[in-house]
Amino acid sequence: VRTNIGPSNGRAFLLDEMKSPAAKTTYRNQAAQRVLIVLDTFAGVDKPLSVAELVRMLGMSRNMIDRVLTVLGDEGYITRDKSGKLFQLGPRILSFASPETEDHDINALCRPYMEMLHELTGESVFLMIIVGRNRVTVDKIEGTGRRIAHSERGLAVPLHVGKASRVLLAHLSDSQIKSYLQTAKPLSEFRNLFTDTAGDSVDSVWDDIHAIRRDGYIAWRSPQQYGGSYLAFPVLDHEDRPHAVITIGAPIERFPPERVAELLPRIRQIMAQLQIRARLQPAAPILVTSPAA
Amino acid sequence: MTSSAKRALRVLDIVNAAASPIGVTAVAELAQTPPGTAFRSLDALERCGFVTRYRASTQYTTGEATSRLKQSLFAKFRLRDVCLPFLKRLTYATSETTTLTVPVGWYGVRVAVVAGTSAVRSAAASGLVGPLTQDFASKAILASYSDEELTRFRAASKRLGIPKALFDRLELELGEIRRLGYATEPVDFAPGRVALALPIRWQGHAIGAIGLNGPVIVSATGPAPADLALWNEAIAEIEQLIAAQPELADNPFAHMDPMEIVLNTPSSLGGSTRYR
Repeated sequence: VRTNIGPSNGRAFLLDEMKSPAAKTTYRNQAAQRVLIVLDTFAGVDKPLSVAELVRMLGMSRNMIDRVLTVLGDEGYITRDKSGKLFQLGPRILSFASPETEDHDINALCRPYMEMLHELTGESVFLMIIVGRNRVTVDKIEGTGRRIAHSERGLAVPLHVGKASRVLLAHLSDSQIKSYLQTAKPLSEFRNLFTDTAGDSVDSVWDDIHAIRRDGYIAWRSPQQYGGSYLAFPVLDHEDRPHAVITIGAPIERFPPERVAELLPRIRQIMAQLQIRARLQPAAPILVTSPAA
Repeated sequence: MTSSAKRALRVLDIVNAAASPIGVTAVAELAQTPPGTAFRSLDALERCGFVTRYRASTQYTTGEATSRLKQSLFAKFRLRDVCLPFLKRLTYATSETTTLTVPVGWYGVRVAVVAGTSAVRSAAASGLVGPLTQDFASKAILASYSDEELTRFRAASKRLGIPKALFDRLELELGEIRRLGYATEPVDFAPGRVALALPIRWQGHAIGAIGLNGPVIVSATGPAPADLALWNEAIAEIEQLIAAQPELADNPFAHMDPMEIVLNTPSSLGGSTRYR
C-alpha cells in the first residue's frame, strides 16, 4: 500500500493536536475530525485498506477505527471491498459536487508545488513534459539574484539529452527506451548544444535511468566552471507513467552539494505532496514516435 | 462520537448540495441544528479540508479533500485509463467533446471527459451522476441489461426519481439502441442532428459507454459509414485490450447489490446542485 504523504501532513498535524494537552481544554469537535481524517486517508491509496493498516497509519486504537468505519459505512462513504475483509471508498463519494475540470491540466496541478519549491529554495523551478521525442519546458518560475538558472519556455530537448530529460525517459518502459535510443543515434549529435551529457554513451544513459528509478530523483552539476547545479524529480501517475519532470536549478555557488543535502528532505516532502495528487490522474498517453513521424 | 460525526457528514452533504457558497445560518436551518452546532461541524470540516471559506468570506464551499476523494475513486475505474487515449483520438477525429460514463448501481457516472477541439464545443463536466436513464450514454449501458435486471431497475425507479411516463417509452428506446448498436440524443442547437454514445461490452454487458457530445450524426441519414467504422474501430480496440487484460474491466462497486447504492442526483436534491 502506497501511504499518503501529502494530505497526511495536515492529517498528522491534526492527529498530534488532538493528542496534545491543550486539546483537553479546547473544544474542537474531535469525534467529527477523527472520522474525517480516517475518510481522507483513503484518498490516494491504491488498494483497499484493512483495519490494521489504518491503525498503523493513523496511530488510533483498533476500537476507535472500528467505530469510525461503522459511522462512515452507515453513511455510504466507506464500503467493504469484494473480498469482504478490506475497506474502500464508498459510492456516496461520487455524490460530491466538487467542480471538476474538463481536462487534466498538469500546469495547474504542479504550479502551487513549484511555488512552494521556489519559496523554499529561492531558485528557478521548471516544469517539463514529453512531446513526441522531446522534453519541452511548459512552465517556470525564475530564481532571484544576479545569476539564475534559465530554461526557455517551449524549448524542446531530445529525451536522451540532459539529465532532466532522462527523468522522463526513465519512466517509459524498457522496450520504449530501447526503441527510442536505437533511433536516437548518434547520441553525440547535440553535444555542442547540451554539454551536461556530452560524450555519453547508451550505457551511461542506462546508468542514469537505473539511478533515477532507484533514487526517485537525480542531482547533477553542469561541467562549466561557473555552471549550474540541479535537482530533478518525476511527476508520475498511479502506474508510474510520467506526467512531467520538475527541475530546480541554480548557479553552483548558491546551490552547492551541502545546500542541496540540507534542502533535499523538505524538497522531497513537497514533491511527495504533489505526487499524491498526480497519482489520481492518468498521465497523457506517451507516443514516442520514430524520427520520420 | 456517532452523533457529532454524523452531523458533520450531514453538513458536508448540505455544503456539497448547495448551488452556491452557503453560510452558517443556512446550513443550521437545513441541518435543523442550532447555528453554534452547525459552526462546530463546519469548523471540523474546514480543518480537515472538506469545506473551505469562499474567498475568505463567512460562506462555505466544497474543499480540496472532497475533490481528492472523488478523483481517487475515479482512478479506481481502470477503464478510464484504457479509454483516455481513445477519447482523445475520437475528439481529434470529430472535434467534439468525448466522455466516458460507467455504471455504478442503477446510476451512470461520467468519469472522464476530453474537451472538444472546436472553437465552440460541449461543456460536459466530469462527475455527472444520474439514473441510467439520464442521458444517451447511460441508456447505451442500460440497453445491455437483461429483462430481469431491467425489472429490478424499474422497481427502483421511484427512489431514482424517474417519472413513470419515461418508462412507457423506454422499452422502445432500448430496443432501438440494441438494434443500432449505439444510442443517440437530439442536440438542441443543431436541429436534425444527434449526438451518439457507443457501449463498451465485456462478457455481454456494457461496462461503460463513450459519448460523442456533439451533432455528429444527421438523424435522417444516420452516421456516415466511414465515421461509424472509425468509432466502432476504437470501441473494438478497447474491447480487445480488456479481453487481453480482464482486470481492466473491474468496477469497484460491481460486488454490491445495485439496490444498496444510493447517490445524490440533481433530482434527489431538488435540482439545486452544481451538477451538469
